[in-house]
Amino acid sequence: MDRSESSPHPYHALPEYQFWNRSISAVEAHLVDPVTRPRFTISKEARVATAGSCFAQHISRSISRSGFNYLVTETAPDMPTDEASASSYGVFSARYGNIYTTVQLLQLFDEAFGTRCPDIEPWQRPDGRFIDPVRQQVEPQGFGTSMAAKQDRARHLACVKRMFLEADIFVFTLGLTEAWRFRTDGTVVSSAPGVVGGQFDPAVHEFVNFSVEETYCALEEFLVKFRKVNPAAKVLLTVSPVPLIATYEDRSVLLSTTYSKSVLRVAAEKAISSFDWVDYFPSYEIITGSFSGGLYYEQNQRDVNSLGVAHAIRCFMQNYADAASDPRPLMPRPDHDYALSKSVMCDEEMLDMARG
Amino acid sequence: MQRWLVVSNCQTAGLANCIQSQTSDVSVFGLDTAMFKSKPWRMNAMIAKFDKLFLYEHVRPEIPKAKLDKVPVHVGVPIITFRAYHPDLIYIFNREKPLSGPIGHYHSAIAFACYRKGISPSDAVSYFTGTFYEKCGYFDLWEPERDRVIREFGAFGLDIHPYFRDWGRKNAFMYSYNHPRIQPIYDMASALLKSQGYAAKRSDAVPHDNLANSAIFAVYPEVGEVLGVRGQYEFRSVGNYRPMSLSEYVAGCYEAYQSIPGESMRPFPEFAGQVDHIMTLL
Repeated sequence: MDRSESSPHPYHALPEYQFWNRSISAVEAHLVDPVTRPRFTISKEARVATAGSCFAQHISRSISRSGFNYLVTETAPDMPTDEASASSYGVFSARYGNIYTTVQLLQLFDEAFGTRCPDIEPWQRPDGRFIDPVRQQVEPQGFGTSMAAKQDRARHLACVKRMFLEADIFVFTLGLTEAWRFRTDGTVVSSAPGVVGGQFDPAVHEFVNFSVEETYCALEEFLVKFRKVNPAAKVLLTVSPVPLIATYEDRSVLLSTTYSKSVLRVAAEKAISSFDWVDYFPSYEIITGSFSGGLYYEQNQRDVNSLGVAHAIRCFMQNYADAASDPRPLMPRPDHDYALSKSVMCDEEMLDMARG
Repeated sequence: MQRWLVVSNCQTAGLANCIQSQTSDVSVFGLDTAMFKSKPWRMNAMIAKFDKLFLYEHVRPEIPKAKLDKVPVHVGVPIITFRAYHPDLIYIFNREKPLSGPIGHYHSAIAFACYRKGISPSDAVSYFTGTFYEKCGYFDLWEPERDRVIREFGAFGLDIHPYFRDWGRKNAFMYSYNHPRIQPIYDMASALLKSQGYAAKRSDAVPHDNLANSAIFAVYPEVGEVLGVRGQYEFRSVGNYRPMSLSEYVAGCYEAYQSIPGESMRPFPEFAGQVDHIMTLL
């Protein structure tokens, strides 16, 4: 008896997506789709909120342009659209700017729901204006006074709370493990002290590179708390494919990038193992996978280009957009293989050129 | 040493060069229809000296005086055509002959539909958007076109499937519906050599991209993005590297259409449904 008939090996009859040579190397790069079993789909009516690192901004824009019900709870006062956008209104669902670490996300949630009161003051910029240390770049003009910065934060937190309460889907992009925080209460700031504003004081501020355990614990705690206030919500996690712009660790930024992304990917995996209402969307794999050969990065090999974003969003739409959404129209197809077109011959001028 | 003759359309020179560059065991010569017509007597005398003819059958009616049957062995070859990068490109008849426009025989279905609807050239340009292309069904041609090309080559005993996956890896592998870049032609030559029992000696020294100065139809950026390549609204006429903008191209099309009685123009049958569909969307 044929051995393969009597005892097929464990990989026998597994789906094609489990084999590299069938689902990756056999497929044209732009058609690779690593999403296999989405845990939920997103209807046009579902309120979708977004947060995360800079790559999350691409996701936010695509969601808002694709006809989804993009939830924005912190809207701009009366001002031109470009000014509003420059002031981070609508960039994410609320004006928190980039949230790079899971610890920042947890701290934001706790502060919005009143269970955390960080003991930090707004920072002053060299131009005398004030900024919010945990979202330093949301207001390019800065705030006129420390009090104005505090009042804006209070308004912001109310909007954040409403977002967490009203979102049907929360999309969060994990970006970094490296961060700077206050030694006193562990408040993580959005950029190192002194970069945008404030002054770096080693006695007050410290660098931290979160471990897998710290990253996941913060994520897990956030998910549990979020579920408690919004029991029907779903969460979609992604990992940013954008490498670190700099590392504070005394090693190559390339190694720090690998560490950081690995930790974040593991944290996301642990989350989907623990919560069946949390899913992972592989934008990281789509952009960084060897099949794309680095073609999805700009010349600086860091920023994701429009082709990469488009590929990720195509996969997102194909897998997460509710099937009831409008199907894409098809071009009327001829019932023959362009026989007449193939008989068209280029004129002599063209043939002369082709010969050259 | 065997002497091989390649007779095809505008892909002739590229194919002959690519076959020759991959083998030292045969001598390859490319003969296109214009070359034959320029010196039919001399070419017929030359044709008789070849051992094998690689022939794209559709060219035969173009050169009825060519004594192709003097070559003892005939091998049919396909041409590379592919619509996914240029879903808007169509051919139009003018009194049963292909109509020329600003870039050879290549026309835009959207521009032609707009002209028929009485829409001005400047308003016609406003329809060239991703949203409109989606309604036209321009984003879903890759897979049926890929399968068609592989099937057509398969019918000639040529397996290009292993090569196809890499063709669009860095940029659009077609300049137009029937003008490929040189790499697909090079790969086609490899497959041809293999089908004839010769090992293809592939290298990085690929022959020059001889259709790069041919008529080039734009890969619309919104279409390119879906196919993983950068597109731009840049058209080029034959032998002219000066880029032509979308507005200029559409204006040139209108100029051509206005000089011809409307009833004399009709899309090729394979594109009639597409033009009708677009007209319902305008």
